[in-house]
Amino acid sequence: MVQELISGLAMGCVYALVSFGFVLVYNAVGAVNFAHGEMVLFGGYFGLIATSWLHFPLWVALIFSLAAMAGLGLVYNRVAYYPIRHRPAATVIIASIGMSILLRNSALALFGPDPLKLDSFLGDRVFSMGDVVVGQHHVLIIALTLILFLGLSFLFDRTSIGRKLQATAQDQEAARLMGINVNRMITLTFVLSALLASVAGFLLAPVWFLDPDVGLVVILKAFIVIVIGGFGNIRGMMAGGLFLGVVEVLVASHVTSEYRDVISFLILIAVLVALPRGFFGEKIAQKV
Amino acid sequence: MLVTLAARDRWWKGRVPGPSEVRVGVIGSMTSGLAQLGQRQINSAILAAEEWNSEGGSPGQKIRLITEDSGDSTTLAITALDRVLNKSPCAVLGPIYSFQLFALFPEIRKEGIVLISTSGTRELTQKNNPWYFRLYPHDGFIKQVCATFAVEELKSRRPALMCVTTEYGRSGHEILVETLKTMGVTPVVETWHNKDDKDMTGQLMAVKRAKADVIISQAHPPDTAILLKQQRGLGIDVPHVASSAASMPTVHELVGAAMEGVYVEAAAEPNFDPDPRMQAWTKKYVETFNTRPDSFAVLFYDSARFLFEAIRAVGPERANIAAWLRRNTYQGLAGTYAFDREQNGAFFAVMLQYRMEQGKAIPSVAKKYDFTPSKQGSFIERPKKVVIARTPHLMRGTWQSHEIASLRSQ
Repeated sequence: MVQELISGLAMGCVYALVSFGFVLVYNAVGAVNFAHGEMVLFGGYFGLIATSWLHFPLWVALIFSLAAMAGLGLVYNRVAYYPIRHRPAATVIIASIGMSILLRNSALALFGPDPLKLDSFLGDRVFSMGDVVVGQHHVLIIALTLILFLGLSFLFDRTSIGRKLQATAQDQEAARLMGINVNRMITLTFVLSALLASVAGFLLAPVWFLDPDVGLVVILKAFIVIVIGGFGNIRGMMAGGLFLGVVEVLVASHVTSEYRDVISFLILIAVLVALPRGFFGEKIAQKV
Repeated sequence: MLVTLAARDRWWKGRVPGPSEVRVGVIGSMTSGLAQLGQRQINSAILAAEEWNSEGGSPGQKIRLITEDSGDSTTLAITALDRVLNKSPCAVLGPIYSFQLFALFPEIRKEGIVLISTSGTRELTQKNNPWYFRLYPHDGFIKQVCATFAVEELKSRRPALMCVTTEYGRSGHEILVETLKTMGVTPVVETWHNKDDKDMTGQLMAVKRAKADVIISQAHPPDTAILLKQQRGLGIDVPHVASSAASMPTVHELVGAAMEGVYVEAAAEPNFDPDPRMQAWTKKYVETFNTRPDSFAVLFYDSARFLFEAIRAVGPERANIAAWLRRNTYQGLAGTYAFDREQNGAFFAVMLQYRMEQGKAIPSVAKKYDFTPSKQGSFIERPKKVVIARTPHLMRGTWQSHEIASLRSQ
């Protein structure tokens, strides 16, 4: 059971990380970013370019990936959001679907259809405690995600820039009247989301491998996590991610592996019925 | 764009192939996650056609391939077939995925055109489709090999079955269970996963709890890689008998050290086969496409060549091609092909065991199985003619170290 819990928590952490980057953009621009799964994918692919093509060590590859993803976040904002920012949300969503297709097919053209592996900082090493064997990479995922979430909580709650980002996400017009440069904050949000995608891609790639369709799987998980956790806050993303990760492993191991996804979606529906705003969803009255 | 495509199709449809070219359709996954197998097969068809044409091919006629992408859905496969048929081919080399092949069957039957594929799914040739020909050892044969190997060679009494939920996985699972049952063995646990699943921890933990002594898996390349890697990562050190996907070089790169000791069913192993013809072909394939071929690729190449032989013998008339294929045998790179009553054409397999040497997965033959009609005489349609005679090379046993070394240096 310990082994299952740790594996489930590790997967849940990655889901939470992906979901948070996804929700950041949603809150900032009021539209779902369907290309976020492909952003995660490219986070891993940039790491692969750095290690396999440029022969950089892994830690340099992470910096390379972060820098490249920051650039991609900027480009995304300039190309697929900024020119249509005053259009209805549906237009922005369709643009994100276009970006998703563009990025997925670019990945196919650049890297081919075969799954590719990015090494882990800890290799394939494991911790063994009696009958329990845990991959060190899984422990790294959990530790790094916790650190990132603490850092993000600090950024949003304790810093001026974080409060400006929150203000922009809550009400762009009010934020503008308060003297906040809304366009700059939205650009920063896209960059922050891309950076989180980079880290998620780096953590996922050694476990899931990278192929052009990984983004689709990732974004589907993120949707579930967001609905379970609630669209509002970091705790919700974390709880939703961990819940989904652990449930998936336990269902496959103890109940049925054949209908694991069916049960996951049944849980999603049950949560929607019982808690329409998720575990930690904001009450609408608070936003008035 | 749609108008342009429609106009192009109309133009093609109205165009009758000239006497100097014979058109052959090639449908395979060139995009999506399924392209891992599909693209290699299309490469094989291109290579076969180029060689055929440069060798002179059919007198006065060149083979022209009409290639279309079947992506990862039945809809795309049907669209691809429609587009190919618009260009009046005499036969079609089809996709490997059975869910796509099943979807193509009604139109293939209606059009009366030969469809050849290298899919292993048993049911494909049980649909009484006279136009479908399979040139790959089917699951009914190769899964029996896996189950028999696990019980007789590995002495398994508590096997675990881990299968993908596609038609391929379900078909294989059914045969594995039946074969084990005939040997008095019942799987201690049976797990399932979707082809896009990325985490198999739950399934593997169920296997660990059940104290299985052998894992037999039936999966596609990406999920096979995840299964093998996670099995070792979770400290489950029982032998693993994997389906043919685990013989692919790309899977070895993903799995790394966890390939040590893994048993893999395969129709052929082009990268480590010492036969000079196979070596030359593999070298040419790598040089041309910058990727290593797998067993599916080499059998697809053989399929294309077998089809071209038929075209040379009887011309582009579809019914004549089908009749010729049923009557004749063909000695290809991987082995001898001859169709039985159901139009299954390959009855040979090897059980490979991989060892890690200097970071590379090197196979050796753990057991060989060969039940081609010419050897057993157990099939209805007796071969009447061997097209290309050559020394049988398949399944010689463990490859010699100098042969492996020469391949490594490629």
